[in-house]
Amino acid sequence: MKRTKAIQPKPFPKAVVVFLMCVTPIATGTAYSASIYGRVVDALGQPVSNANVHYHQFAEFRKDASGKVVQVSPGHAGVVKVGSDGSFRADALSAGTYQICAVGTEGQHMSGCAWEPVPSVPLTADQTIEVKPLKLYRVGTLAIRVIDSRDSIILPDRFGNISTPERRFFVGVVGPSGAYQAARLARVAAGEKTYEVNVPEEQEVQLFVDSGLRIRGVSGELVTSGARSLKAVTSAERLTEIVLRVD
Amino acid sequence: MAFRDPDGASDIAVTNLLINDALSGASACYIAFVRASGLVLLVNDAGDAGGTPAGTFVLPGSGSATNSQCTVSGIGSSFNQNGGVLTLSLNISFSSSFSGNKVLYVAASDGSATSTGWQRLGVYGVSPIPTGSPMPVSMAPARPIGIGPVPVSFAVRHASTASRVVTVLMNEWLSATSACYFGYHEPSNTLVLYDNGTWHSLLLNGSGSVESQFCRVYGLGSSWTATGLAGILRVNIELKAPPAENQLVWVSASDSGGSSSWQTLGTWMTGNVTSKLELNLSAMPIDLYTTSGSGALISGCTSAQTVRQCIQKLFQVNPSVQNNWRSQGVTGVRFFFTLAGGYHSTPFDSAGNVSAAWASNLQLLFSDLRSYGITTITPTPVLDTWSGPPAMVIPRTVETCGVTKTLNFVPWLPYGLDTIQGFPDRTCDNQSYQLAARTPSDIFWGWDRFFNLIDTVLNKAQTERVSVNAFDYYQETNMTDFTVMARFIYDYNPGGFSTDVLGVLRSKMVSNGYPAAQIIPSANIPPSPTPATGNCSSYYGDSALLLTLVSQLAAVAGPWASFGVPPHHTDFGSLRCYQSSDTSPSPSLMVSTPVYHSPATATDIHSQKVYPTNAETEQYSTSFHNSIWSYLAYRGLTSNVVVFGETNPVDCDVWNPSNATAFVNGYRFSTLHSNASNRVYMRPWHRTEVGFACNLSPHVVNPPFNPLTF
Repeated sequence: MKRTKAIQPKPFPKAVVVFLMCVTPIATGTAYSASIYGRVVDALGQPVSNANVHYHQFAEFRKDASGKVVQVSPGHAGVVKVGSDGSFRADALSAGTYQICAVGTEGQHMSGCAWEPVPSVPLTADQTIEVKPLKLYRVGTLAIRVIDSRDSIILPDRFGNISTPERRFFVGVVGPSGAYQAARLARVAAGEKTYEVNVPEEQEVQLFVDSGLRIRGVSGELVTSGARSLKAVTSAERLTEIVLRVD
Repeated sequence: MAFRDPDGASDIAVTNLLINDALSGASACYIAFVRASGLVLLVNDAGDAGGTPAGTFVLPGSGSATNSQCTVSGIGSSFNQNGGVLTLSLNISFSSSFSGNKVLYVAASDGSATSTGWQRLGVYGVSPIPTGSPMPVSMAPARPIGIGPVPVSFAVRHASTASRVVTVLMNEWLSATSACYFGYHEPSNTLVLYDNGTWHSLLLNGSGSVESQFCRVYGLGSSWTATGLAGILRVNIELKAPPAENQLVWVSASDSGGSSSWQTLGTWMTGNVTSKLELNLSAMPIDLYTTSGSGALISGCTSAQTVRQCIQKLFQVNPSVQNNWRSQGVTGVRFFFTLAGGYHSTPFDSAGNVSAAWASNLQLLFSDLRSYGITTITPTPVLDTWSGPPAMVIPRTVETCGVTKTLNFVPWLPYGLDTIQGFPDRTCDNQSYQLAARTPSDIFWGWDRFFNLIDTVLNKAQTERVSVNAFDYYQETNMTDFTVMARFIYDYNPGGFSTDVLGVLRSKMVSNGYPAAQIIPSANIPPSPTPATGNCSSYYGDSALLLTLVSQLAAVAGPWASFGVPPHHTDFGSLRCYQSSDTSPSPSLMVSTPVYHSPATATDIHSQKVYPTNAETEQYSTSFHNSIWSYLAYRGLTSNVVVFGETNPVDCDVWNPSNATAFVNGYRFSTLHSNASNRVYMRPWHRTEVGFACNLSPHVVNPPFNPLTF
């Protein structure tokens, strides 16, 4: 990420800083004198309001005399609300490495941090930097309907155990960057199960199936045979449905 | 009698029962049973098992066989097979001349002629039992199991109330050598314990203890009560180390009226009992295991020894070696081995195959440990940079998480390391698991090498019949803050071939005869809350002390769960606590591995927390171990083996015997101890390498790591 060291940052009077949690001073005793600012945009680069920016300072570790990794600081986290022009600013930050992500409304948006690589930002004391525009994608729901007429699929119990692991079935999508998103089981009806996953609009994704069962696509092609495989699908649009069938 | 065979009861060929005063077939009631045919064979009076039997018959049936000692009848006898267990019931009556307290020796062999050897499994009083006074009468319980402490009551009948003495000896044979041997003298109300030529005395006033190399006797729980000529000596006994064989218990009584003979009154069932005390031995110089002078590498040994001879010194029970680990109850060993010669361990040859010489040395180590009574091993590959020489740490400028960055790479890791602090790449935080740079193909060895190596280690362990208990294949992982570590669960490679690392490792466990889900990385040590009792729930609902442990569980669960830094707020100075208003980082920013695995059946987390006062250390320990039990119950993992490591029992780093005792006591007060102590293993840490070792080897681990307290 290209990073701008802004000695005199532009003012962002419309940005409202909201700390949703008490930020506990960290063990390093670093002064809270650094700032970050930037904009939140959609896939087309247009500003997005009505969103939050989550920042997360990495926990710090050191190796002790025996080489064991010991936590020095848990880091801390906070949220700022995005202004109507898509701008945000977070002040009074301590030095450290930060992950900064835009988060919108659940079910309507997907953070760029969940869909593409968003590198962390090192921040030194007294530094004010502008981060690259943070992406916030509008999402559609991709439904994956699995015809399972013999109820071959066995779902995990509440502890995550599957009595016959070969009969597991999990599915998710892989975006262009390689990011994987697991689909959740949305509905179970007689002979079929429907999984759903939110996918950014106008993104081509691939299915990632994990199952010991033989799974076929709608035209009969084998999606997986005793293991797992990838299957390309068309661009995601709102309420797109893919049908799979268990042999 | 029940006989278990992991290959199934049908694999059992012959079982034997020998009833006699001692392990001799002559003048014994010595019975063999051939499972396949149901044949019962009674050996002749001479004890010639290969000669003409005294009699035979077949089960089921109404036949019988008789010798001078006993009669075995088909009526009332039976056998059945259920899974891996063969149960045999024999209807035996004894001749009047064959009387007194007799020992039951039992053995079995399988189709490959592998034998259990004779096991002392009990004592049976054949009527008429000895009369007269003074005389030992009974022992309760007659078959203590484990190593104690167990209050055992010895009932005696005296001829006089003057000068009464009761003497007890526990051993495989009637010998004071290597025995737990003590006597009680009523006039002085004193118990004396024999210890390699000297006697230690203990006034029986309800407190204090005495110990020998083999056992301890506690004043608390010990007493003498007498009513007329009858007396009961109650002794709270603990075996310091579980002997490899079950122990017989002989008792004699004396008073002014005379002395009794020794009477066998019970069997202390210690054979094959795992003490649950293991030792964490840091790096093992496997390349030099038999090399002259290599003993000098280990603190406490010398250049006059090889590493192998040093291992013998440290583990083989020998009264002349002070603090011998096996004598202290250690029955398991964990050690590291480097992958590229970092510390005298070079498992691969120039072609990348597992070196035959290295594998041979490893097998020799396992064989030696097994012969010294070490039944469990945990060999952990070193995945840190010191696994090889510094030249193998290669800086390379790569694209990681969308930026160009220089990282350090080593051939055995599928990801890069920060060039300054050396930690795994976390350039894009939680997404690093998926999107951080992979080790360039010209550097990364690939997974097959790793799999072949683990397969070889397991194969050698199986060959030498040592157990693998909670195989920690990656030391102290933290998949919360360093999600790339989850590539050791499932190496997701969106641009190429993904590898189900845990899945393959589990298959290696199975193919080598070990339980699949007993292989799992250990979790990194928890943070230090202030105060020591500080605790809260994390995003997952378990204790925030266990965040790294639960993250690992989530990484194993695949699409069913997510891991990485969860939403939290910081409390107690270091804990990442959660309440419903916590939104940052968002759950949507956590990641999943795309492949499901069932939860591991072992839980391995390391802890080495010390607070300024022992009271705080104990409080923390109780809180931590309570949290483990809550986690196991919450996750349906209450049958898991639980392993703790890294707590040093001696003066080293932040540890000393006092705070280590506080840590152990904290565990003893925990719900984990009260609910699952039979599945909890302690692996105190000890560095053996000269230059790094705090103490000479062998050192004192017990106390405070007394196996009986686990």
